Order: sequence, then structure tokens, then C-alpha cells
Amino acid sequence: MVILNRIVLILIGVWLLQATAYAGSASGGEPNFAPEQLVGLSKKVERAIAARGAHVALISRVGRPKDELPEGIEFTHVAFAVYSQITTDDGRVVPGYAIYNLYQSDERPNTSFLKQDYPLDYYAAVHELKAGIIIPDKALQKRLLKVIFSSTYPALHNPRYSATSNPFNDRYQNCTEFVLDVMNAAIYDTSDYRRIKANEAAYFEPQPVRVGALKLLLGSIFVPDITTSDHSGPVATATFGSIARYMQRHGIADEVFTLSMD
Amino acid sequence: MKPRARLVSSLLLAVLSPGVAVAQSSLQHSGQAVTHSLQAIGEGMVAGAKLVSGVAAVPLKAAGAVGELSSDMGDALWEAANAPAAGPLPLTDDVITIGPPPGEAIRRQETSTW
Repeated sequence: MVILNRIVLILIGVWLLQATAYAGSASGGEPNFAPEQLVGLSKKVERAIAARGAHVALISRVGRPKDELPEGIEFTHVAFAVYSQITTDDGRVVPGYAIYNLYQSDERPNTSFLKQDYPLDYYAAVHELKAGIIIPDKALQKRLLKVIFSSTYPALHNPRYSATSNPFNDRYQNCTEFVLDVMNAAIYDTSDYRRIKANEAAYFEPQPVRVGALKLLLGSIFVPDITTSDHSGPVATATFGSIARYMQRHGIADEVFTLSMD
Repeated sequence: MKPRARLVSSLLLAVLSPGVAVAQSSLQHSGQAVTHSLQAIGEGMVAGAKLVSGVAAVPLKAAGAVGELSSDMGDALWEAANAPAAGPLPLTDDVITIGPPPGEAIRRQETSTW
């Protein structure tokens, strides 16, 4: 019996270590690929978007090892890329893409903040040299630009972060839900969060998170950026794949594709 | 199966199955650290491309630069995305990143000034 108790304690300890590592294992900041490869991926993404004449695109990255990703989830982070006039620190003005993100806080993982950076910053710590890209149709690009550079954009940010946030209510938010909210603010030309959520509930199908019930329960207890309290049934959240399917189903995506380095 | 044995097998499954938090991973700090290290080791050049910091970004419209960001920006932005598809958009060959951490930026300025 004593041995069994010890096994239980060891297993709980191992699981907690794993869960914590999943939530923050990137904190070391060590690149997983050579600088040339990271530059190659970020430039390849920029060129692919520019080749399609897109002023706004949705881009995604793989921020965790493939074998740690739950079934059905291919990418872990989504943001907007906006074609921009960029002033550099050496005083030049050049054309390129700026990235508009909701990032999870390192110090307080159950909170988030908004930040603008650039493609190499975005792809610098990826675990796969792969990117998912959605080119919205022209009408949606036009509306997205209007929202991203309006007071609606920061107003849609909910800093309470949950990796498994329910996109159908306003309790928590993650990067993909924020992208979905901004997109629906653009689609319905509104800053009314209740209206945005009502339309998401009516038309959006989130990705079920297929993880064991025990793991979800333990995660919601011990890991700060996971909660299931905002879900009344099976846990499902917004992902790159579910946003792509939503846009394709409703005819508002010109193209959805994946890029990887050879 | 006895309750305790069932608990052990459940925990084993939990330990061995994929994580929960990986449903999303939007940590920013690691990427930032990597680009800062690239800036440091690359001395401005990576893979033959010039590495520069972006000071400001303003959305462009197809026919030229949009004016500065303001509440009146709407019309220009509407035009921007509404422009007819005119083929590929021009891109810089430079690799742009956010700036270095504040402490490093101060040290760089001090070095270049003195």
C-alpha cells in the first residue's frame, strides 16, 4: 500500500511537471532552428502573402513539439499580418508586414497583452518550420484594417487568459479567440461584444480539445493558464483550423494554405 | 479493478497523453529572446539579409503610403484593401525585428555616442 501511495504521488508530480512545462517550456528562449532557417521561414511567409497582394492575412505558427499537440490541433498561435510602411532604426522606410498579436504573459500565464512585432519575432521560437496562412477576401481585408486601427481593437481584448477558452462567452480569451473576435467585429461592423459573441455562437464551430477528463481536471486545478470553468459541456476552443473552416464555409477566405521549409 | 489501481492507471494515462495547454501557446518572450540573440550574434546580418529593428509600422495602401495613424485614417484604409488586385506587393529584403531590450538599447546608444 505504501508503495502504491508513492507511485500515485510520483505520477502526480510527473504530471504537474509536464503540465507546467507545457504551459511555459519556451521560457528558455533557445531557438530550435538555425538563424538562417528562421529567417527563411519568416521571409517565405511574407513573400507568399505579398505575392497574393494581401494587405491583411491571418498567420499561424507551431509553438510546441508536434507530439505534445492534442488531436486535431496543428498550430498553436494565430495573429494578423498587416502590409505596412516600416520605419527602421537606421532611418529608412521599407515595405513589409507588421504582426498584430495577443500574447500570453510569461510572468503571469493567466493574463495576456497586445503587441505588434514582425515576422521573424513571431516565428523565432517555433518547433516546426511550418506556417498556416489564411488570405481573407478583399472585402474582409478592408474591414479588418478598419478595426485593427480603431479603438475597437484594444477594446476587444480580455486579459484573462485561458489556453482552452470557450469562444462563446466573455469569461476568458486566448490568441485565436481574440483573432476571431476582431474578425467578427469587422464582419458585423460592430464593437458590441455581446453581438459578436452571439454571432460566433450561431455560426462558429470551435475545435474540441480531445484530452482526457482527468488531465483537464488536474490542469484546471494546478495550471494557471488552463480553466474549464467557462465551459458547460465538452471543452472546445478557437484554433487556426476552426477559424479557417469558418471562413471557408462562409465564403470570406480567398485562400487557406500551409507553408513549410524544404 | 481496485479503486487505487484504477487511480494509478488513470494517472498513467494522464501523464502519457498530450498536454492541455498546448491547445494554445501564445507566449511571446521566447521569440523575443531569440531575435535579441540573433541581433547580438548576427551583427545586423543573418543569412545574407540585413537585420534591422522596426521603429514604427503604418499600414500601406496599394498605390503608396497611408498617412499617419489617426481617427481620420478610415478612408485611406478603406481604399487600401479595396484597391484592385495589382499582383504582388513589393517587399523589403531586410529582416525586421522589434528592438533590443531597453538595457541593451541604452548600452548600444552609449557605445555609439562615446
